[in-house]
Amino acid sequence: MTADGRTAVLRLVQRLLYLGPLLFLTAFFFYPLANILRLSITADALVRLVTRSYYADVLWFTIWQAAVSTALTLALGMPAAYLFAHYVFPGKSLLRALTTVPFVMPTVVVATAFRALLGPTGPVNDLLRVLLDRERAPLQLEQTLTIILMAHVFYNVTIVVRLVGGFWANVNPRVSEAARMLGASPLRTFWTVTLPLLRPPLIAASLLIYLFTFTSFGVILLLGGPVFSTLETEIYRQYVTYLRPDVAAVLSLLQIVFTFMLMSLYARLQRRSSVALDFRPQQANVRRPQGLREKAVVGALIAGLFFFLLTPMLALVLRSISGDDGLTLAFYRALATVRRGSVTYIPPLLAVRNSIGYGLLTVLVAGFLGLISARLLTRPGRWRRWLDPVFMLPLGASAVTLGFGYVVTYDTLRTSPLLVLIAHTLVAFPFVVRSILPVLQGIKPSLREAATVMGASPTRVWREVDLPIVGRALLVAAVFAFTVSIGEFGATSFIVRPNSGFLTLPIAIARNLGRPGELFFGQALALSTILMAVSAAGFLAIERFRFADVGEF
Amino acid sequence: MLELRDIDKAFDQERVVRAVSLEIPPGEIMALLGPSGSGKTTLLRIIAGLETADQGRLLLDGQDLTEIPVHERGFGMVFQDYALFPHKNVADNVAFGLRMLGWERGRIEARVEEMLTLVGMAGFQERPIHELSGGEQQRVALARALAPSPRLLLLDEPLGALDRALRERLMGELRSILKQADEMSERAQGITSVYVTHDQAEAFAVADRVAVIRRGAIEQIDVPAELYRRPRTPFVARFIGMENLFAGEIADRERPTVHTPLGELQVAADGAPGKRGERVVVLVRPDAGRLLGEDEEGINVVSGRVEAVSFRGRYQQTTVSVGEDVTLQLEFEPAQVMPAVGVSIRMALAPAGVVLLDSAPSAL
Repeated sequence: MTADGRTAVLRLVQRLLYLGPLLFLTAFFFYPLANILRLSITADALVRLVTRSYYADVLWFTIWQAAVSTALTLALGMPAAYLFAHYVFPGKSLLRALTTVPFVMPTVVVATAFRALLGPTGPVNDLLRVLLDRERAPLQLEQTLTIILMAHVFYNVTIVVRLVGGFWANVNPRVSEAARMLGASPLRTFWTVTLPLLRPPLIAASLLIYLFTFTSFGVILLLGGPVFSTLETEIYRQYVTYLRPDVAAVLSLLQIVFTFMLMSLYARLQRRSSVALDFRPQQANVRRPQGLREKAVVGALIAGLFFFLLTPMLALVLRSISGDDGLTLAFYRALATVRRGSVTYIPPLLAVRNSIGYGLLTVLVAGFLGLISARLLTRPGRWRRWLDPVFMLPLGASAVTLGFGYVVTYDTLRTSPLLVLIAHTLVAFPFVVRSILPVLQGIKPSLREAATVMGASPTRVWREVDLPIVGRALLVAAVFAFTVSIGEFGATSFIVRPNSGFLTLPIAIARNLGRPGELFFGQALALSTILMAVSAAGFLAIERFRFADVGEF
Repeated sequence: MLELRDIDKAFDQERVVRAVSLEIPPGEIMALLGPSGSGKTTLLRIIAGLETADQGRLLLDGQDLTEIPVHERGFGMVFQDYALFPHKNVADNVAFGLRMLGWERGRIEARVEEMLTLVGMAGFQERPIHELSGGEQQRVALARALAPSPRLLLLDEPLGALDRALRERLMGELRSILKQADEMSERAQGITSVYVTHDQAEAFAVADRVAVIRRGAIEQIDVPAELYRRPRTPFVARFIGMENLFAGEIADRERPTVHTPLGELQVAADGAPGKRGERVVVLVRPDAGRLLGEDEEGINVVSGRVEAVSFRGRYQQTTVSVGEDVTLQLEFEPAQVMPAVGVSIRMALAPAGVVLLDSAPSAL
């Protein structure tokens, strides 16, 4: 073959490779969603939706619980953001990492942890029983709005700390000092200067938290029980429990419309908020607390944060290893036992094995697709502008809707583990692209030019220059994909049939939570602890490998 | 009158301000001059109330400021990076302090215009901050600080972020603006200013008096000309660019002369020396030297060898070695034709340029 022929073939292969991610998105994102739309237009479903006030109630509850969750998260997150932006104190990096841990925790783990902490037999109620000398558990929080809101705040507080705190640390402190010098009291300075300056990250954080709590599924399902219904849980129930795919489809449509509105609003605001403000290096702004009052306030904030972040997780771990008479590994041992007399029973340990398998496969597939996509996005060309948002779209789609779309489109695949893998890949895909893309874009063109001038072919340049530099970002992306896969609940809960041998850890946990009895709950605790440990390890790996803060959200 | 009494401040056990006492009369511009890290900015922030002193008292017209919070002090401040509010336009920035005073809108508008005119920025009211150049931002920051007629104006390296040419131009202008604002002030006492800088030329150009700060303590306070003529310590001398410092011994009180490594030198008449035999530090100012012709006589004649010459326009920077290990940095007038490097020369050092410092040679 001539050299020209070889280049032509190479170029063709390259083109085909670039088509990969697009085909994947079309087949496993756009097509299933379109299928839902096709399904939803049955007259009966529409009539039900309009005539029964129940659905309006569900929508209304979804909207306002998200609003309250967002407001509470901001109220609690702002002091924490202030703390991180302004003070150095021992254990700061530990506390910062700790605030992020809940965010990467699978929803089932958070739900289980809150039930472990605040449930009728949890440590809080044990303590209150002794203090108040009562027989019954004084705090009845299960299936209340309170516990849902607490879990939402716990989950999302890190968004405020990261976005607002990060921005705040870079706001020139001299600006608020200037306001003080000009006669503004501390409170007035906060309202007239600090808050307006913090508006971009505040809006971004609010929208993100609203989006996340609007599409909250696991927390509502596992903590709210049958009492509370959001759009997400209602889609699930309509399909799984009431066998009304058409109603589920209409609700999904509603869900899609809402989330995409929020997503585009977020994207627009993010673009607009990137106005250059008066930034200065972070180091200059942080200092040790001085004076008794400041030390007391800072100390109380630190202690409060530690308490709030640690107690649910500690309660989870402790209760997973405690039985009626002291410490025991009984729950863990029970995970492996096959119960006699029950053919359908699947030992939960199988779920651990499955989840790790899914995780590793997701890393491979999502990593491959993500790398190609990131490469495609760094190529000059006019389609880049609209391709980038397209690749980010799966981030906004709710997992439940996705799972629903899969079961109505690819029902025959449900007997194989393939569909779960595809769902995990799709959910992980945007994270992978976002981890790799900024690093890839950050490579100076002159590096590639230098390699080319010295005689490297385009493929060679990619191998010699891009790949080694992107290596670390790839590692981050891999861990991201793994963590996303291992914690995925919404889509998987649709796809995996009950008692299927392909179930994952979160599914097993949810299943066990739904069954009565101390042993089942104990197993859920043990499984959640394992899942938490794996996710936390993954998160620590990300923090370690990440270049600065590139690729966040 | 602003009074600082024994102000002390430490960060993490490191004393950054040491027992500073200072009195600044109303209407005066006082410069705090020192290298970076000398504590001058901390001292300024203590006066502002942005930092609290560990010890000492701060009085303004006899009133103790210690317990008064920053926003009730009624001071103005110009920050090194201006710290303009990025979310407000020029007029809103200047109006901020007036709004805090509760002025009505019409009065604020008039005052904003007056202030912008004073700093040469009339008509810039509606401009967003990020569209201004560094020099323009500096002017707006000044107008903002001056608008409420502060009792005390604090300036922290206000020209530090500007390029050299602009800085040179604004130096003189700044002084006249401050003096004009003092006359325009709505207070009877006028505006007193404290000006922090590390640039001696800036301090000399702007200030009425200069306090040289070293390691948190005041080394010398004087009017600029006196500071230049008679630096009292080796640190002050070096900081204002004078490097020819030698240990010496007083030879004669009547016709004031000292023994130095350069030989016996006659010193400035007003520099009354101490006892005969007392050990002193002798400064030879760089402009003291004049080349002598072959047989020309003079006072304080010193022979040396030209080591390096660098022509700087207004003067010729010359390194002259005298004997084995003594070198002099001298600035000769451009009219004098400098011999080539390596050539031996004779020169006279004007007695007015030979100054005795207050310090003992151990301070060298």
